[in-house]
Amino acid sequence: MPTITYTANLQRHIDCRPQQVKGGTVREALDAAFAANTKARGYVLDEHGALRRHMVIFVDGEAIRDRDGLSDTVSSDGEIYIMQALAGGG
Amino acid sequence: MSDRLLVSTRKGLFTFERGDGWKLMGRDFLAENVNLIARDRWDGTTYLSLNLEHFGTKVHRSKEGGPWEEIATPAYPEKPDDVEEPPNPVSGRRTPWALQKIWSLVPGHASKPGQLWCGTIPGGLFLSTDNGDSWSLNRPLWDREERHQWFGGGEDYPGIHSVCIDPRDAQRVTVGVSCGGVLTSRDGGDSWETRCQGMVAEYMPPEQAENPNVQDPHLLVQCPAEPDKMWAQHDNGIFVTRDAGGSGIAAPTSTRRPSALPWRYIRRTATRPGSCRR
Repeated sequence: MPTITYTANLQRHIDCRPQQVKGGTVREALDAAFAANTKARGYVLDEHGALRRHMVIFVDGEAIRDRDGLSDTVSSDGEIYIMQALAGGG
Repeated sequence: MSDRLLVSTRKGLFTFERGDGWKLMGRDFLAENVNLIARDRWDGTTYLSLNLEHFGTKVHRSKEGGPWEEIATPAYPEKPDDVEEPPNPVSGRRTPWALQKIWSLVPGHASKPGQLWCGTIPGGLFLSTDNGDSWSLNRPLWDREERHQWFGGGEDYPGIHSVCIDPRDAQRVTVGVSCGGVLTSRDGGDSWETRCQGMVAEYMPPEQAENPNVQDPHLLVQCPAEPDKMWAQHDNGIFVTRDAGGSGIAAPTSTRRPSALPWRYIRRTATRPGSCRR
């Protein structure tokens, strides 16, 4: 099953430890994760299920392309990382 | 005057109490952006909104000084495919049907326990009747054709920053929109009328200066002792009306200055409890 790992910064607000979930797409995997952790959903997705503007999801090291539909595929042993989009610096 | 002061800041919520001077008695949400706080003096519940940037806006509640608990966040409905959201005439952007920021939290009238009004960016007004456990978007306001002329004043999208509940009548609700003027409901939000006559935005093109839908009030304050009196701090200066709750069309008395110079800019207007005189 795919593994979901969350940014440590999110764990300041909610309990969201790494977990294994069922799902062949990012959407399916997140739905499975948030079914058991409903509060986490609103921290990652907006009210319509799209990825929040300043969040990013990587699957096996690649940023997903479908930020609204989350239709990017995930292999059965895929690694999903949910983190803040980084900007600025210099 | 209260002996307890709640200060919301970008770095957290700080509670001061007065004894032998003001003393810091509590720190909550340290390092988080607490952008609003409101206390319902009728039932002692305190509400605050957090702007967590990456993680969105959240609402928390404390009952009678108890622990903070996260409650529901206002959520916009999905825009139906057959509803047009035209590009804004000023920004050119289409207003999203999604919460960007909470801009006002106002407990309801004394006769409406559990009511909490919430003004938001991009321009939706929400009402909770269960102390923030659930929210509903006020569709009569959101669906007004004029909303498509509203635009952001310092923000990407328009927002409701002020909600005034007439202390004499829970049904009389007035909101301030930046930029979108002043609107009043006399039926608890079932219908709205624009009440900006007399306001002027001299910095706009002449053809737009008196368009009520581009007026930029920043804060509305309704006098608790004389609720017909209301002030609007506005990009053009300060406006005042003595007909805020009147039956006719409001005709705010402009006390406008020829040009509002930056150093005369007033960000907040406050009334002393029990009096409209300052």
